[in-house]
Amino acid sequence: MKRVMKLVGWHWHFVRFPFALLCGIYGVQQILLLLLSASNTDKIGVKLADLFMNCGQFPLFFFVLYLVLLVSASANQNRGRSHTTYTLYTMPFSRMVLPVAQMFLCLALLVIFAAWQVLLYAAAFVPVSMLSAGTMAGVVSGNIPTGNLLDEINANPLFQLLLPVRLGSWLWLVGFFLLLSVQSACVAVCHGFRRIAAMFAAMITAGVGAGALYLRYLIATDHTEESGVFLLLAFLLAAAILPLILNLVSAAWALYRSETL
Amino acid sequence: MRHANKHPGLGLAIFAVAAVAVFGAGILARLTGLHRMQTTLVEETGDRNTLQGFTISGYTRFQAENTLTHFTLQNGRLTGETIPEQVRMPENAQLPSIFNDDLNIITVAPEEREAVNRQASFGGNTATSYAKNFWIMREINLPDNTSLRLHIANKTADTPVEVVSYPNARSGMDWSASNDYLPETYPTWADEIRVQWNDNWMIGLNKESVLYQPGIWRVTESLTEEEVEALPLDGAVQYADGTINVLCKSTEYGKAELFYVPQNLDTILECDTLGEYLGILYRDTKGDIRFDLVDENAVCVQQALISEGTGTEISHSQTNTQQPDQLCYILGLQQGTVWRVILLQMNDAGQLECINLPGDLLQDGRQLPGTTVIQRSADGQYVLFVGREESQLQLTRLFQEEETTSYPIGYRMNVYDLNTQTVVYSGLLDTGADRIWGSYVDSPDFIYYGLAGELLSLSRDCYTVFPQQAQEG
Repeated sequence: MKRVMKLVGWHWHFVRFPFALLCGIYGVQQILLLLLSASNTDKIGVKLADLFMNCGQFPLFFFVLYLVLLVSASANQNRGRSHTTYTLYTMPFSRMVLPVAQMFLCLALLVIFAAWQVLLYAAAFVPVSMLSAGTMAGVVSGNIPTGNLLDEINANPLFQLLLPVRLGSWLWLVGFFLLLSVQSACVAVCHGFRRIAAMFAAMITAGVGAGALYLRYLIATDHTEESGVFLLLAFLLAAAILPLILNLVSAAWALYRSETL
Repeated sequence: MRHANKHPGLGLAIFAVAAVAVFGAGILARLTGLHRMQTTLVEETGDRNTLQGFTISGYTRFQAENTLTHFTLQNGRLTGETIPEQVRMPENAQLPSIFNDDLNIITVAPEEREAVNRQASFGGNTATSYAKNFWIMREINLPDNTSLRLHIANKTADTPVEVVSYPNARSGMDWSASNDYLPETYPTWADEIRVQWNDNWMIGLNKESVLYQPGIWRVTESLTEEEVEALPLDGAVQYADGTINVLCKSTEYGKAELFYVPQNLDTILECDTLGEYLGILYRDTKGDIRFDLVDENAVCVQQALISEGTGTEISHSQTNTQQPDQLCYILGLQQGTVWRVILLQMNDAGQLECINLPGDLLQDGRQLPGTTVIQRSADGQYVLFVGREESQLQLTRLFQEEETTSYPIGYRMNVYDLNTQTVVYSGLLDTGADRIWGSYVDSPDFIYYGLAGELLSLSRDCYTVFPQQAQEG
């Protein structure tokens, strides 16, 4: 475990700048789009949660989660700077340490990115509300109700998924993050053309997995008993797990041949 | 070697711990927010103790939040809970379905069907023909998703009337009169008078029904959609070169038996349960409005005279009381210029009490609202009026005329003292509707496809349902 953690630390060292850049760009575009929407006189009375959805940040968040997965996997492409290069040859420990470390690294990055989104949203509330109120003042007069951040967090479907209040939803969220982390580890250990194939398979898992996560949430809230939606959920889950199985086989083959070295 | 390289993962560990802390704070924020969504009583004036004798409850559904809240007002105390990750209202608190109306179908009489088929002509997806003899069919759609179809009257037109059939539309496959010919007494949508009583659906038929005697009928058989689909196709429609077999619109299905006919009946207005009895509000041939209380043997056990000789033009509606032993009607006499609110209650002695309530009493410049719930307190001294309250907004847009819009902010609850005839308490039940006022801004270009786009939208609707009976969560 100590070796795993050491490797996680080293690989974090390699990806921290690309990861920070990704978080930064994501944050800037989000704040800019929210402020632009808030200053629009045709959107008076529209609150932060609605603006967030209008700007397409909900699907974009899941796309950037996939980019985080790739950034995490890129740690192993380090032109020989990683300790892995000699440890796997010379050290008496299993080569499984590498994918396990990559999985933990990706999990940590996903959690940090999700927390960054929560912080961004909270930080955007005050400036967006003030801008909205300013835009509104020229158009509407009367007793205008003011919103609050807590309502906006609860109304936003992204935070209903990221900050669940029921155990079942928690388990699904953890499962989704683990799925992405394992895919990231698979991408990390594959080389050459199979790496590109692995990235593609990971994209399918990320996209379809996000869909399954949201669909499961809607099914749970609606208490539906229609067989059609359950079939769709089963299909989405199968479509998310099949690429994972392919990638696991591919990664096992790569490890066996020590491709990563 | 630099310090950072000795502990390369230190930064990651710090960030990860911070991220977990952010998650914790986020969960706390969500739980606090969910708790705050609960219904509250605000803007209170008067004596709150007068709420003691009432029991009301309701559910609010928050669409975007995927959350329900439930409140109960009992013994003067407002309690409530938030049910997160739940959007389905309980069975007994559903919104009334608006597409479940009763229909009058004006269809070709069976004996004329052959002649109609012979004269049929076609254009596009429509077959047209002419007929003189019609059967008026009443299709009654019950709230349990079953239906029955009764042949209530015949009608003969003076001159041949156009009939149409749409072979591609399942509901329009058989001949029926085109919309140009709709007899005044048989509009497409019929008044629905129905109530579930002792496990049976009771329906009311009025005098436009000729073949079924006007009165209260008990439904003994009603079919589900699948059962209707499975009925044998008993007729044919000539269409282009071929014929299509259809279930004739003139075919009856489902059964009903006559249960009770009020004396000197002119028009049945409402039909509801009161305690263990069936209550029927009707106008008799003298123009009086009466209320009959009927037991399971179809015997009228008590009758009340509600209003004498009111003429023919009246409007009427039933108001929820949330109590099984109370019924409330709002009657608009002489085309809505005079309003009367009548509350009927079974007292402990089994006697029917009929209380006239003021329909237009003003207190602090406010009208007594009561279209949502009206309830008499347990001791009989007070009456609670619950009604939606709205707030006004003035909109002044550039290059546009000033417009006023309003949005719901909750429910006004007024307690009225029957002895002193005054409002002794007033409070606003804040069920949370004010969070979505933006959607009430009526503007043609409210949805904007601009630089920031409109990729996904969110429905922040929120509505409250008061079930038929008050209940604890």
